[in-house]
Amino acid sequence: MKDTDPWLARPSSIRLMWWIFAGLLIVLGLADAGVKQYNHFGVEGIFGFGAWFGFLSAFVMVIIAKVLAALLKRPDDYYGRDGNDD
Amino acid sequence: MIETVFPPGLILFLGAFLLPVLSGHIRSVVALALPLIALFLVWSVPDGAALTIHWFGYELVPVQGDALARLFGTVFTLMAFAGGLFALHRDNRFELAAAYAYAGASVGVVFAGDLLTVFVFWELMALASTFVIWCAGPSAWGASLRYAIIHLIGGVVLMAGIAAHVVATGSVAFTAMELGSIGTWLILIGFLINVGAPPVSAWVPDAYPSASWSGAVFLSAFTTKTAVLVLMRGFPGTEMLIWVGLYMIFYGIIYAILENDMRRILCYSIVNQVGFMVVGIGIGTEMAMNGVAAHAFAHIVYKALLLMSAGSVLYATGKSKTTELGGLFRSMPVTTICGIVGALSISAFPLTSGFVAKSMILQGAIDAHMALVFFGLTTASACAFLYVGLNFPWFTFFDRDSGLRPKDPPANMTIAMWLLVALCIGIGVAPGLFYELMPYPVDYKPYTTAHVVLQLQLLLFSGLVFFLLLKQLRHTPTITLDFDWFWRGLGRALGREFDGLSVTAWERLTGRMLEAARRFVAGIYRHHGPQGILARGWPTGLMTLWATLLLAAWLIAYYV
Repeated sequence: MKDTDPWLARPSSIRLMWWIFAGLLIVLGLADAGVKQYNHFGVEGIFGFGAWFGFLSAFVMVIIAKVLAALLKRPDDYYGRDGNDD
Repeated sequence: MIETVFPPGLILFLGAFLLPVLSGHIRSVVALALPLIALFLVWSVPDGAALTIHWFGYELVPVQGDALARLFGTVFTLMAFAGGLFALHRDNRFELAAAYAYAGASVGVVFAGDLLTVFVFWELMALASTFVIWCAGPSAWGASLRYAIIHLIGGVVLMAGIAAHVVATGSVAFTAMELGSIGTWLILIGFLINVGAPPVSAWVPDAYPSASWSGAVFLSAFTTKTAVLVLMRGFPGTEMLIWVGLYMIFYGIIYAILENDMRRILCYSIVNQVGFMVVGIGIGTEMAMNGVAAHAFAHIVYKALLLMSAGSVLYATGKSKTTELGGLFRSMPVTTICGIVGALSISAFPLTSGFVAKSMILQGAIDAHMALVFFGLTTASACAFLYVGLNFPWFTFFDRDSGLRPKDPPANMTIAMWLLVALCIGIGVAPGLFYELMPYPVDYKPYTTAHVVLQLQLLLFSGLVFFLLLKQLRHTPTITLDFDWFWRGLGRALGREFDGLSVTAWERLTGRMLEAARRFVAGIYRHHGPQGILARGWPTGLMTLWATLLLAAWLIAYYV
């Protein structure tokens, strides 16, 4: 990459942001040790609920979307150009 | 004692007709003043019936004030102001007028105290919003027709329901209804069509992105949220709405993940967010209804901000498909920052309006001990960051560099965006005043350590999924089939088939008629043509002979 790239697009800064992101995730994942979480339904009381539930639900949603995509995706001129159904 | 007030929506609706004939600075001043006058009038409406009309034995209440009406009236007029500022230099003289008429009609629905007033303004909204879409030019023609047809059908269903309800109860008053009679079912269906419920959710991502860069900002605000308001008034605590809302939530997420067009992504997320509100109405407790009202307000603001950001990109590049965009943060920093604030708000990050609003709906589910609903909403809250909070800004402003270097839009557009940024963050940081606008007293503390940690966990780990699966999530130049296939695909195929069959039938019919005509002419020709038996020249001698014979026959007969 060229040096003229803006700071955000440089590989070195992207690496740095990944490290910061990873650090944040670890802190948040372990935060339940210090914070008493709600436990209304029995499940959210499990350690790191937000972390694993957030990860899993996003992951599962992408899988479902991809399966649906295999069935329902069409080229974007399927209904004609501009979607004008011509 | 009833005080007489000027209907707040009417000033916007009537003032809109001035805009096409004005120009220059006068037009700008009028365009910015109208929504502010309307906002002032919204706050001057007292609680209770403020205007009544007797009409054919019914008591109509065109203006009736309460906290809910003030809240929606405030955000609708604020939105008209911000949208008007954003669209000030749009080169179509009719679009802003149509948009203001549309906003005025929505405010009319908000303050309507009877079902007939609701219906009248409901139809005016449908008409005015169709005009807004038309103003985008010929490319919007097909989508605007589909939009108009769906909303006119919805209007007919609503009118039929209102008529049946009025006959059954003898009253036109707009109060909470129990599902059971045909009238209330039809009214509910009419409302649900506008809210973007299945199976017609597709009208939202079909129609709105066909509007211009400025028109879509207005469209995103009014129709679905007006429908939310009338559902709040008419059907609070109707359990069916919980399931309708959950469908809308997951429909919005999945379709937005697969979508390529940035404005269509945002429209799918309208369906998702309105789904949250519909679930809240289905729960129906005071906490949930406060959540719905707060979420509607917050949503209108950040969704308009997102569509302004996307509209600025469309304005500057003429492109809307994310496969053709990317890397725009280099030359459009303001648009990028505003888009990101909108994205963080819609994801409900702490310190944004989404956080203080949406969590009240979840609290409503917790208080009502609805575990399934709670986990459904929590899943959706986590996914919000992935499917729109990152999906829109990442592929538009970051990701692969498209090489495009457009500039940030003109000042009026950026000021409008900053205004909404201030609202998003202001409400998120200091929700106290905001909570005072709610229909019921708010007893809720959004900022507890546990809540903030939980929300950040959900969001950031769903963000992790986004970046881990980035390759799989990259957009393709495709669309995803929806129920609208039945009218756009199957309907068209049937139409063509019918077309083909009817052409064949027509050809055979005309062929037969031609054949019959040909035969008729040929018959005449055979008898009367040059060689026809009736057209031959007859020799004079023959006639003399016949005349002689006839005379002879007469002579004989005379003597006999």
